[in-house]
Amino acid sequence: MLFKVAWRNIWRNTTRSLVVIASVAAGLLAGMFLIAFFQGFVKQDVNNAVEAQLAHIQIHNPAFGDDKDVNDTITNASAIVEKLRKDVNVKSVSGRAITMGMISSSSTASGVEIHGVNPGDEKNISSISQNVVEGVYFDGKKNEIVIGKKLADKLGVKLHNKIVLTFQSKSGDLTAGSFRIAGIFRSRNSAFDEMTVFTNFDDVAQLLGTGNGIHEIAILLKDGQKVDTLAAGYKSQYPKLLVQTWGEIEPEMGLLTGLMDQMMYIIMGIILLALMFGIINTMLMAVLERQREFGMLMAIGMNKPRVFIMVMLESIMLTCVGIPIGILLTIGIVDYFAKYGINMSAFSKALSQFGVGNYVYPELHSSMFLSVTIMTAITAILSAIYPAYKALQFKPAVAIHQI
Amino acid sequence: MYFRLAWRNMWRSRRRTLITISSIFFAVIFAILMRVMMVGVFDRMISDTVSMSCGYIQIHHTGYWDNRSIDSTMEESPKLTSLLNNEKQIISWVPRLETFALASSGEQTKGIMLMGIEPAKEDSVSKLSKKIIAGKYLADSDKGIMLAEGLATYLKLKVNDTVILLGQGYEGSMAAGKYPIKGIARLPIPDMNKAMAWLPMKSSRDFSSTGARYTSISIMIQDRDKVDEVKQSIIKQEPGYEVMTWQEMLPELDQTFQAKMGQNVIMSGILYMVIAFGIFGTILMMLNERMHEFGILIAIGMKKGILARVVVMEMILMSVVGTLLGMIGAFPIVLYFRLHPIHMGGSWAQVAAKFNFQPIIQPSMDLHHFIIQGYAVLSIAIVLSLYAIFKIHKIKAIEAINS
Amino acid sequence: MKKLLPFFLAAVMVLTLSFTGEEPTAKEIVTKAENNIHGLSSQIEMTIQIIRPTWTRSMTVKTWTKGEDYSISIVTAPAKDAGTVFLKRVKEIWNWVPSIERVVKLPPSMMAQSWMGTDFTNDDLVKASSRIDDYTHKLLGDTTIANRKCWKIEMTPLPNAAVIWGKVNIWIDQKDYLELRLEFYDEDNKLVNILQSSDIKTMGGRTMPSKMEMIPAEKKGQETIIIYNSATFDQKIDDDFFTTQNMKKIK
Repeated sequence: MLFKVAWRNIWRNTTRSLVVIASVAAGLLAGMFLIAFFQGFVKQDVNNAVEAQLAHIQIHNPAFGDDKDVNDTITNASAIVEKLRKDVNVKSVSGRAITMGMISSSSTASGVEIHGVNPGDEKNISSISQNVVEGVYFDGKKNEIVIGKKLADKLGVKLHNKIVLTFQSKSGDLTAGSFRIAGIFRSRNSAFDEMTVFTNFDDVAQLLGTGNGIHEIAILLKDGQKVDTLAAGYKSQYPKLLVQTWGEIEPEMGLLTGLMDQMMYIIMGIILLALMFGIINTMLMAVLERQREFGMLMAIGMNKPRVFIMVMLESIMLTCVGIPIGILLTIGIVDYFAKYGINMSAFSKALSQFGVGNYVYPELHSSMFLSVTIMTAITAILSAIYPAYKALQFKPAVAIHQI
Repeated sequence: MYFRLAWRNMWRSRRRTLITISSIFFAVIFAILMRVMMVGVFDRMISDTVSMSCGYIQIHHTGYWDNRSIDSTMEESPKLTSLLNNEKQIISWVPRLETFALASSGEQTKGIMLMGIEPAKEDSVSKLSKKIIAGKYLADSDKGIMLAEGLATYLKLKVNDTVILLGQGYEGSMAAGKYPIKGIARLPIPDMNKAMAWLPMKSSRDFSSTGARYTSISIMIQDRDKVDEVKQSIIKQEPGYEVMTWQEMLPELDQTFQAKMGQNVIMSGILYMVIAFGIFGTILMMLNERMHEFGILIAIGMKKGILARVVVMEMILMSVVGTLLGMIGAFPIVLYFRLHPIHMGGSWAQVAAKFNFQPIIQPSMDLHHFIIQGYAVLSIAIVLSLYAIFKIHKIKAIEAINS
Repeated sequence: MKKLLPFFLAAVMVLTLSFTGEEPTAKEIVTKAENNIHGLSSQIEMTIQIIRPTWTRSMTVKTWTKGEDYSISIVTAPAKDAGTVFLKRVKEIWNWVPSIERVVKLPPSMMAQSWMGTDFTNDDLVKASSRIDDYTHKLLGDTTIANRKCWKIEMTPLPNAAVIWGKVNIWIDQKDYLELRLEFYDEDNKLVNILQSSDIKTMGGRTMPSKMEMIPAEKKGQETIIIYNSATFDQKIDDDFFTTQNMKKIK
């Protein structure tokens, strides 16, 4: 009976009901969008790091470590690379020759980490090739080098200029080679841009005297989520090598992700509280408006608990209508932005100089629907309690005569 | 005339007025809370980062920052000292003598950044003593040296071992010395951890033959937003020095900060949306409730235009009152959290431990956030209340009276 | 043996030249001038002056060299730095400071740093490139420097040579094959460094400039001057004179 009355009440005053429904839907949308935005933001952060330099998994000779001794190459590396190439889980593989050295121009010199790469492989694994702002990512000529914008400025060199790399060869002698700047890149990490230069694998290997010796195998997976299980597999497959996931190489990245999560919950809390007070006020107004009605009901003998239940039922029903609308709205809006992205540079001058890759693509996981829906529903229903309680406070006689 | 009418109307139905005001009141409080919390988090990160590195402001000999040469030092100046001691915004300042040197264990040799410090004073700014993992922190009269952990590991040295420093001193003199290791400190930033060493100011001046000279003075100030003001004030009172702010010295940190602020804009947007729905719901309900009254007024000949003006005026009044109360009401809440910061656990605490900042959320007390947020909510409320004009113009007197 | 080949070739060339009387090629001129500098061995006492806009500094240094690969230098003044020794063996540089009693090998990353605060870098000492093999040489014509007739030669680095310069102009005295002036340009043809030699004297039986100035073109008021006070040449020095053990004993 009460159920029917409540249902009818809802449609008696459509404006009021629509406001509550809209608030619930908006609250849900806000919560979901917030999470989706955060997820997208974090994922973009991780992707930037993974795609620019780390890749998902790296394999080294355990002795390579911090010293980066040229002699510590990976035994049997070419065979491992070939095997990984055929692995169904692997999207791309790149074998790198890495050494620490010095880069000099006619005006100054600077310490750098030299990455000898096969451009074809490296293109598929690292986003640096897309961050080239001047020139190209290798032109197929001999002794080409690709350096960061920050380093180029420091050395006072331009595209097609010549620089000299000096480093220790396998035999311990100081060796030097001249390279032409084929491209200048600019990633998000200017420390990386200043410290890392890319050359053709064969050019640097020849100077190093390491032949086809590889210092680092970088692996990009088809599915980044599987990184831990796959890495564990490679670890047991190559027990003598150091197999590391990006999370192990840069533990800060994982921690920062956790920090973002916590931050998100705090903001979520504030938003839900704001939603709660919004609904409370709307409902209070609604109750105020219905003083006469409640007075009448009580005067004709409806007892207080039943009035309370009726008002609560109305709120629950409104919430139940609001939630699916909210979900539909969320899917629509998040899908739109997931496709086109949110251009963050519109909000921050600092970001705009990076150009591409500045878009955040919000991401929805089905697991989030349930938790956000429950949170929003609880918030909505909690906010109905006070107005419903308030409705009981009216004295029937006074209530009828109001206005 | 409208104002008095509006004012009287407001007090006619106190409950309705209270609900409307409270909806704005809470909206303002939430908007302020969210803002000051976020800003507080960034303030903490920035202040902890700059206190460990360059401070908010640095004073150098003109041209020092670009070439970092030991010849570009400045003499101790009583005038500058008294200026720094008297500037109200300045909490503390420390002199430093930074120079590039070679550190060697005999076997291994590495280029490092050697920093001459006044240990006790330095500790009050950068809390360096908390980063000691072996041995002891330096004392002002010590003859020993303190190394960063990564550097000690590279050189394969422990506490009480001797490290050799070679370098270039003041005006082309040769710098060489050997120092017992008194302590080893772990720095959160890997690049610094691999390359930092500290000597007490006296030893460091003897090493570099600089006499009573510094390369820089690092300044901590109370309010991050006053950094340019303080800089200008120093330049005005003591021209002839190079004065730089943290944004100029650490553009990366500033960029990260700006990027996070961009993210903040999106989150504020979401909160504003929720707030707007709350306020709009309240306004809608209020108009709904007063339909009967409006109907009568129009029936007895009141012009709709005048009525709309009175109602909008009422709502603006209520919004202003709500906003002001909200700004005042937020103050004790923010103050409470300022005095009792929220301590965070989980990955937040881990990141904090790793990067040496305190794992707390302490809101900013900067009043301009209060004003900006109040202004934002007030604008939303006023724009939404314009809906009343539309609604009133649509009123059909007879229907309204019967509603 | 391989090292001696250029000498041999140069000697043959010089002989040939003196017979034919023809104008030598640019490469021959440079080769002869270079061989003029790197004799079998040398022992030189020199004064090094570092000039900066706000200060100057002077020190005296004693240097022994053998071929291109070995050299050892000891600072004899000022008193504070006296006894500091630098050893160069092939492409490595070692440093000994008496007050710290330890020999330190300079890491490769230090090669770009200034040598003893001068306008020369450590890299200039170990010089990875050769003025003969790493460049193509073009004779630009005759000029005069300090009343001496010179060849002006343009040296352009070979495409794959590890040379940071865009080109180097060199002035070589026609009588004694002395390198009197070098100008180092970057790839945009901007002058970066000037190395000029003057005060030609006869020392240890050789005619050679006794004063050298290294002037960075872009830095006003900055240069390094090296003045040879005395020199002897072609004395026999054993290879084990140039060892880290000997660094500590040398005076």
